[in-house]
Amino acid sequence: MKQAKSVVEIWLWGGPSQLETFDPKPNAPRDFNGGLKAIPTNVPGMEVHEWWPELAKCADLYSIIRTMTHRHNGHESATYLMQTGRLPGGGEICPAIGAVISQAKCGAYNGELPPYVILTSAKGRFSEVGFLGADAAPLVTGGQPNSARFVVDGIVPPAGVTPEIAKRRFEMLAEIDAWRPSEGSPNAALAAAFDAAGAEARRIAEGDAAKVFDLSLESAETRERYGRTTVGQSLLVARRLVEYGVPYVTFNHPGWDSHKRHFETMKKRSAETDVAVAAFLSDLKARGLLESTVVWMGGEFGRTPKVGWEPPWNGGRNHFASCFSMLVAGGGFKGGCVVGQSDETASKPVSRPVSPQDFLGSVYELCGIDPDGPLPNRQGKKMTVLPPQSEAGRLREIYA
Amino acid sequence: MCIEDGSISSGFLTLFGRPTRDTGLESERGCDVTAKQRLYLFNSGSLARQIDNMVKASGKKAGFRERIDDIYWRLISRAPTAREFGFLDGERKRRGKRGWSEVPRELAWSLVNSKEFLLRT
Repeated sequence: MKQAKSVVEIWLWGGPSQLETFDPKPNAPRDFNGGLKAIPTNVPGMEVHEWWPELAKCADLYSIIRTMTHRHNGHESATYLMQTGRLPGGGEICPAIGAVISQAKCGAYNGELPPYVILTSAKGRFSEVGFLGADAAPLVTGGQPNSARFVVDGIVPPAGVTPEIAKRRFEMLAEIDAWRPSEGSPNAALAAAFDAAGAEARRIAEGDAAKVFDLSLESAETRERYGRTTVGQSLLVARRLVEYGVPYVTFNHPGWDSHKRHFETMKKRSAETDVAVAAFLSDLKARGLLESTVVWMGGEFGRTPKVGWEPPWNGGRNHFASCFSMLVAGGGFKGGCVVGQSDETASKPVSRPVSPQDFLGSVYELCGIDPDGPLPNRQGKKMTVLPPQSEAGRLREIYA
Repeated sequence: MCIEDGSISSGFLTLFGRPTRDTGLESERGCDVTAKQRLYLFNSGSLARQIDNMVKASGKKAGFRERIDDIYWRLISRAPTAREFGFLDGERKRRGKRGWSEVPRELAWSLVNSKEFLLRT
């Protein structure tokens, strides 16, 4: 089996509703489906919610898992579980899948950008790198891709700093930075590391890496196709990062924690995300990158199937981990498939439950990383990539 | 930077080795120097704003000598040596009327990125 080269994670932070995404229940009572419908896709028999018309046109590019399931309804525990395959506690903060894959693949990657890039902010309340520490830390871009100039903190100099000014600054630094720690002092080694890191940073800042973030190099037509939204332009940057060779890219997409006025929130979020993800998958396909790039989209859990119409919810859905959906595409995942079936209200799996470990184990496998093998680390921890488990649950039925 | 609650995440603090707060041990804090940290110090927009504010504040001082002294004291708690001031004064003259005002800003940036700023104890 060919290994995937890159992974793009579209993290729907907060827990998106399974009913208004990829497990619609048009025949359930209104208290469950809000009176909304499903629409057919270009794959016979495969339906999505009516708020995802663009993804409905290209369902052959992705597959849907409708029976993701675990038992943790708090954001922090559920996120940790979905990202690491383990439960929090025990005094050890484990690295997320992005940190593990980017570290495993960075040997074969020779770009100047770090092998793990997060658009545009970190998940927060959970460290992606865990005990792997600063050398596995992602580049968190900050900034706004949907603006005239996407300023990536650290890589793209702030407005007003021209290449000429940057050059003069480094000339002055060479004069000013004359102090040295005394030989043999504890800081001597740190000073050497500081100089080496500075040289590496200059190579990044002065090389071609910054161009990856320059969306003015894309045509106006392409930028429109992805949608002039944060999600649209972020996924366009994600595609450029994949082309550049970055092994793991995360787009953290907040705003799915719709306790109150769920339908209003979901409709808006779905519309911009639908356009962006459909454009992204089609673009990867057209450029011949989809085969070597795993794309996955989902959150830490789904939402309660029964709608809370009464105040204070006013049509809200709460946290629900028993049954939720996930989208996977490319990198060795087949398109046009549905994994698992939920009951008539999307409340529990009827067939083929998929655990977080089954899911993560599959992504690891497609990237050529043995989920049962040792987790490489400099900290001397003896630990496997995922906790010991059966491999029977991995999503091998949708491997290409 | 003001953090009211330890669970509040900060890209800056993570970048510079904030511990995960699992234990109270200082050894949990990461002291590695990484290229990502140096990139932040070179190019960060928020740091550039703080440097700008500081340079503006020093601009209230009367002459060039006082401004340079002020920036040295604020950033590395000492006055410039004769050699350092000689170099900076040379730059001031070389840049002329229109260019010299960039010298204090470039100096502040250089000091923040110097080994002395980070490591002199």
